[in-house]
Amino acid sequence: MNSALSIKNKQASAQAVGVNIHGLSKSFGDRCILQNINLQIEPGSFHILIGPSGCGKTTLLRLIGGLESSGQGEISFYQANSFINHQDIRNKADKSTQKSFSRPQAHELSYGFQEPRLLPWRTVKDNVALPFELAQSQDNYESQVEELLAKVGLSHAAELYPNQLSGGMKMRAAIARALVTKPKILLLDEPFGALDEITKNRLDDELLQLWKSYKMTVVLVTHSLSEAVYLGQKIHILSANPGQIDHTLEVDFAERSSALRLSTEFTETVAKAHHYLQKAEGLHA
Amino acid sequence: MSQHLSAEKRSFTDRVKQLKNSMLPPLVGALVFCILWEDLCRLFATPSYVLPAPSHILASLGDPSVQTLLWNATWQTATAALLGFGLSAILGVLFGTLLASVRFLRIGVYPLANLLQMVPIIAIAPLLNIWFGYGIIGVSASAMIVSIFPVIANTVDGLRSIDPQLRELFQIYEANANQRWRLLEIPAALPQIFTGFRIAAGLAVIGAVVGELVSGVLTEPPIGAVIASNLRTGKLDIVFSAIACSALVGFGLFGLVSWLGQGFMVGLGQEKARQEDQLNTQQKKQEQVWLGVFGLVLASLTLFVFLFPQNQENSPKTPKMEAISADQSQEQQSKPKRQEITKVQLQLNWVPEPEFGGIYEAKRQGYDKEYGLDLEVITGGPGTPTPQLLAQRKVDFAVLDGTQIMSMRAKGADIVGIYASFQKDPRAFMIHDHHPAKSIKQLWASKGLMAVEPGSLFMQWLKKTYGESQLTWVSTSGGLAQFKLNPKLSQAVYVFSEPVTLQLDQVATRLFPVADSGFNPYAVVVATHGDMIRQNPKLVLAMKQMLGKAWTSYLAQTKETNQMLSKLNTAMSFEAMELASTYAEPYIRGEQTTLGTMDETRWKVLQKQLTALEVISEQKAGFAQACFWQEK
Repeated sequence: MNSALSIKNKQASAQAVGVNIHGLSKSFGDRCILQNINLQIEPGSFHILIGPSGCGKTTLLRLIGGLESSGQGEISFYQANSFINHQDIRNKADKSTQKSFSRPQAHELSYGFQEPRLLPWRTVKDNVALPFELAQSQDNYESQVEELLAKVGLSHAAELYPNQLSGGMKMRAAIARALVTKPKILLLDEPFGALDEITKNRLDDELLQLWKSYKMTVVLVTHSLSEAVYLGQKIHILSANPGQIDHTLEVDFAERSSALRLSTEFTETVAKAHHYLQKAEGLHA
Repeated sequence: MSQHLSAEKRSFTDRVKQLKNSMLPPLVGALVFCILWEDLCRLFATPSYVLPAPSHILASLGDPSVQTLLWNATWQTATAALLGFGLSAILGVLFGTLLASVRFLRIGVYPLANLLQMVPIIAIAPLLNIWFGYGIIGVSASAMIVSIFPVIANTVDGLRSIDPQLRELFQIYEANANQRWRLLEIPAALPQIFTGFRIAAGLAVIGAVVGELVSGVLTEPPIGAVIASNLRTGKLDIVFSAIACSALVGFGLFGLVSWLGQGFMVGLGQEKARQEDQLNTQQKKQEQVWLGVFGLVLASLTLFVFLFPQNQENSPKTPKMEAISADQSQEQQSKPKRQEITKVQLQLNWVPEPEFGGIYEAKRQGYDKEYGLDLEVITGGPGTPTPQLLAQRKVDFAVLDGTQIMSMRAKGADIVGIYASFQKDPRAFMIHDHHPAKSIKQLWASKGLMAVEPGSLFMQWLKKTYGESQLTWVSTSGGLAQFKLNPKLSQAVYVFSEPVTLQLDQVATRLFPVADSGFNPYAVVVATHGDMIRQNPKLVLAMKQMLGKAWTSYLAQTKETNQMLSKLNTAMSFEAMELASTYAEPYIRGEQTTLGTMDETRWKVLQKQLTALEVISEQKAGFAQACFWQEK
């Protein structure tokens, strides 16, 4: 749609947070889930993690999000602009490297789960406002909540309770909640996996729009190749037992819109990704 | 927006419909229950001192003084129950949170909290009275103890079953413990906490009423005290009304909590509830058939009420055979022949103590066999319904009070006194030795607490004689602890009981006999039922003569029988038994020369007093005479 999509434009997203993963391994008991993962996620980029089930893609995302106790190796966050003020960023990890820090503050990192995870006793509006409440924000965040609800097309449902919503609406509300604090990095774990294809495609488009306007880093876990190719700039294909990054596919479309889905370029890229995915699976079959 | 509005509108009409649907069936159910109850009462002509019919209870509610009594009682109980419930709601949720979040407390303390549920509240109610005294504090404590466990248990369960996915959400946003509790745990556990609240609401009322049985102030009686007092005076119609009031309080509190709960949890599963209430057409048809059958049954039951006349409280037959019995008795009196031995039962109204000294003397000396009787003494205790047992002929003889005989006869029970063990009423007001009062009248005008058994008629009589008392009346059920603790507390006692205990505990007391006020019914009266007098006057006479001989023997030498009594009743030492006998003797003897005898004049005085107190209504001539039996 516009030029903000290309990686070259990443300096525009000066506030976005990137991730450096170095030699990361993780096991649950005897079982090794991830082995020696090295990954660089540039600020403002859109990365995809894809692979057969059990390859540890969700675990990798949870490690980035701080939901799993860390294994071996190192995960550090950094910002493209080296002149950023470090005072409002916690620095738990390596203090010697000025640019990196262990984990962004809560409102700078957002995580979208497979399920909407809305609080059933709160209206849509109050669910979306939750991150502000938990950050004990003193600002008047009502306009931001309304803006986000308008962006995901839920303005009319602001006063409804989750059990009055359809699956797609719930997921939209969850996305709105994840984005309402304007995070610098957004982690999404198969957010639209449970939805029908039409709804899913529409939400994919909406997600792209939001990525563009918020200029944030997105890491998305999916098991849909077409979704991966449609959204991602870099597609990391993981193999299972133990989880390793088997191949990284760079995708550089000039424009991403529904027209792209029908283009041969798109179909070819999906086929290529499919090939690598099969290879990743075949290796350990 | 429009969708939202229509949803609101629908929910209003639905609510009215829902209310109708949810209220009507239980009301109809209650109506059927009452009609059935009425039917059975009429069919079996149940006397009102056993089970009053609903119509009888309703009639008693017509009395404005009863209305005021019940209204005030309900209000007091509701306040205490609400306070107790509030305490258990707040403390229960806090304690439940603590247990849910601290593992070692959950393992170490939760089982103990569970134990709280097993504690019989009726057993610890007197203790609560000792710790918290009289009035709303002790009563609320009782309500809280009974109702806190369901709140704790449901809070713990609710907090521990929170969706771990939502916990993760809060982890992502780095919520602190306070935020987790306030914004996630409590709202998520709220439906279950409210389940606990609803159970607690009903229990709190039960706890309050039980507490009031012991700790209720009698001058401003709450429901429990009204029940205790009227149970004792045999006004079961008021007892049932009071029970209905306590049920209403429970229902009200339950409703309030449910309503609040729904308000808190709008949008939570309401849609589901609505769907469940919908019936399909086939079910509707079936329901209509059942409603028709049900209506027919209801109609025929109602018809039944009108077919049967109400059970009249006809006074018992005055013993016409008395003349004959007197003749036979004279014949019998001269020499008690050793004939066949008849088994008879004598029901006591208390545990073995010197007030029954003569009765146990008869057993010990074998006087019963001498008079052709095989006497079986059945011990009693607090709450033994001796008048009812005798009126229903469950026993041959029973020990009761002169006032009980008279009020039971007025209610149509045919019971007759034959031997008055105590010529003078052994009740007295006990005060601390240093108390300034010099007479009942002075005591009456002083300020402080007066512990009496609920429903004591002499208190009503004193009120009539001396006017409103400055004393605050409370229940004695707490034993002597409150007396020892409070130097201003006076207590209505039996001269052979409490003063003995206190003397052995080195507490100096003074006594004013109640009888000095002019209210002096015969006490520890052995009574029988009219049938026995008509059918077996010889046996009645033998019993009476045996008692006379036994009491004379006991008063001459109490030692051996008292030793036997202290073995039967280990709660009272031999020393205490001996002391009690000494205290009791002047009251057993009275001013009469012959032990056990009764005369009509005193019964007539009692009748006049009880009529003035509206315990009995105006009676036919010869009523006082019929209360006791005297051989000619």
